[in-house]
Amino acid sequence: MKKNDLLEVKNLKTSVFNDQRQVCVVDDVSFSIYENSVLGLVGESGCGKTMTALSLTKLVGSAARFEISGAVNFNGKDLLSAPAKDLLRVRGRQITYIFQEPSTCLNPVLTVREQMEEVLRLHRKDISRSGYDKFLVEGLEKVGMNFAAQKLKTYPHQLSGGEKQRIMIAMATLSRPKLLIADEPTTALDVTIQAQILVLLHSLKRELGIAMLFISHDLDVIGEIADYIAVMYAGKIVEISPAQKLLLTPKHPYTKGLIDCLPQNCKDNIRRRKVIAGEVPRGGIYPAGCRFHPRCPDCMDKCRTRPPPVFRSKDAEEEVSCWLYSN
Amino acid sequence: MMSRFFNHKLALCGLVIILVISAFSFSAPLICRYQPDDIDIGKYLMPPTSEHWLGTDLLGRDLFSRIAYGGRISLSVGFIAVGLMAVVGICFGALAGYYAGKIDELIMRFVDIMFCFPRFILILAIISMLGPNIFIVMAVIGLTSWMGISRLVRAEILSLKERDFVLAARASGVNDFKIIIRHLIPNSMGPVFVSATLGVAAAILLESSLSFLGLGVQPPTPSWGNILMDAKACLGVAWWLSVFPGLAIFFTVLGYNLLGEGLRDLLVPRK
Repeated sequence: MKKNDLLEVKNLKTSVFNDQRQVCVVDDVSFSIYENSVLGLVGESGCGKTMTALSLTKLVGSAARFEISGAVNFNGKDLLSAPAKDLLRVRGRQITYIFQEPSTCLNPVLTVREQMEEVLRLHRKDISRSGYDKFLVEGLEKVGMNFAAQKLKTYPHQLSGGEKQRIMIAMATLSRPKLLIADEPTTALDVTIQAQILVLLHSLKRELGIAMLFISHDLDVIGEIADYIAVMYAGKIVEISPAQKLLLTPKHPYTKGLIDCLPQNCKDNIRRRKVIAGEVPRGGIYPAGCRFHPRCPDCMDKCRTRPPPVFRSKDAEEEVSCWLYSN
Repeated sequence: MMSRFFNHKLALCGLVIILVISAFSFSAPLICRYQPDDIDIGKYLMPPTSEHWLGTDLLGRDLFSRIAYGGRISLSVGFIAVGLMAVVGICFGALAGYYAGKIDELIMRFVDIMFCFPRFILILAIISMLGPNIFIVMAVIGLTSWMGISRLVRAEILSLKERDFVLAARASGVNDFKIIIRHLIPNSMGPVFVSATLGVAAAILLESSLSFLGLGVQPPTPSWGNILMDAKACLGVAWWLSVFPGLAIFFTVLGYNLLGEGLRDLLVPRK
């Protein structure tokens, strides 16, 4: 089956200017998201996952402090060179976001109804005002919200974390987007709610045919939902593969390290979890050569001096940036 | 929220004072037996009696009626001036806080310049140029007092705009204007309410001072300030003429200040 690209990111580069110093937080990142599929983006905190997601629709902040280059082709249009006006029609209509912390993503002084109606007014001109109520209740019921009609009247502080995240998801699907960018949508929730939200996102993908970019630092969570997984380290993507292949036969030492860190893979000594020694380089000061080499168990001489290029498998499904695969 | 307000004795006290004085002024036609400009020369400078509860002035006008009707003017001037001050202050503050950079710099330096003028002298100068008139008094008081509010709003918005719900709103395609109007300004209203409440007190005092100097509300329309001005001529013989309007101003300002302080305790979080 041929897969259609919905979103194609080429050489995306995002830099921040901090005290006259330029820090490259997303460096030369390329990936594709296919229609009706989920790309998982995984990596430790501070790897540039969120910055990648925000850069796609130029949400990073004021142009004075951020510089984005590269290309983001969405539906045959480059979002990075599109005028701001066009972006307003892409954000929230074709590409929607869910963020990590549901409790801070809702406006504390507006009711749930007011916030949801804002989305309808902007992106669903096909629905008349009198139909809003019914539509919103249905929207909330679709994401498994109990007492939907009553919840519309509440303020965010009256809701639990799980309920707020359901509302965020409902808001992100009201406009029937083509792509949903979920930035750690389950991280702030406890495990049982986390599982429910994952099931919900899964069913939304199946029923509404929404493609997703799913960001998490938890490989377990990513493994449950993603069709493809991209692993990010220090602003670069080090490996992209179909989910099963990546989890079963990881190639990059960093991916292997992440998988070894999962609790179920520490059977021999449950009390002593494995860790990847060292830390993600901070403040945009990256080591020369491969950025992972100071922490890499398989580090070779050339890793210290030359950054590895991207090596593709024969079927072009797997990509890895590591000198181990240079032959 | 409401119960916290009702437990705050001073704020409640302030609110009661304001409500009583407002009710008294705005129901003036119902409770006053005389019109404020009914002149009865035969009964000039009468001390408080059962007929004229607070006495009469030099022209035999009933002081009770004049204070009641004057309150309408003084309170309205306070309210409208503060409304104007809040609108202007919020607009400038929101623009400065949201857009930062050059716009911020420009607006905040303009605020600094406005703060540099001795306010009362500036108001006197403007009014003596444009002529005293109740609407000019309102406008001038409002337009020379918005700077504090714009600083408050700017500070609030500088921190609010970094919050996640603003990012979430931008991510759902809301434009800058609506983000400011719907998401940022309503969230920054706490300190504005406090400042505006205290501002009403200041505006009433200012209006009284201007009227006292003859540059505010013009006779025969009564306002607390110009009743006091009339009283000045017979301070030695008719104590009631200056004491009662003075008390009216005193209690109104006290009420607004108490309410403002109370709102500050309730709405503005402190360390």
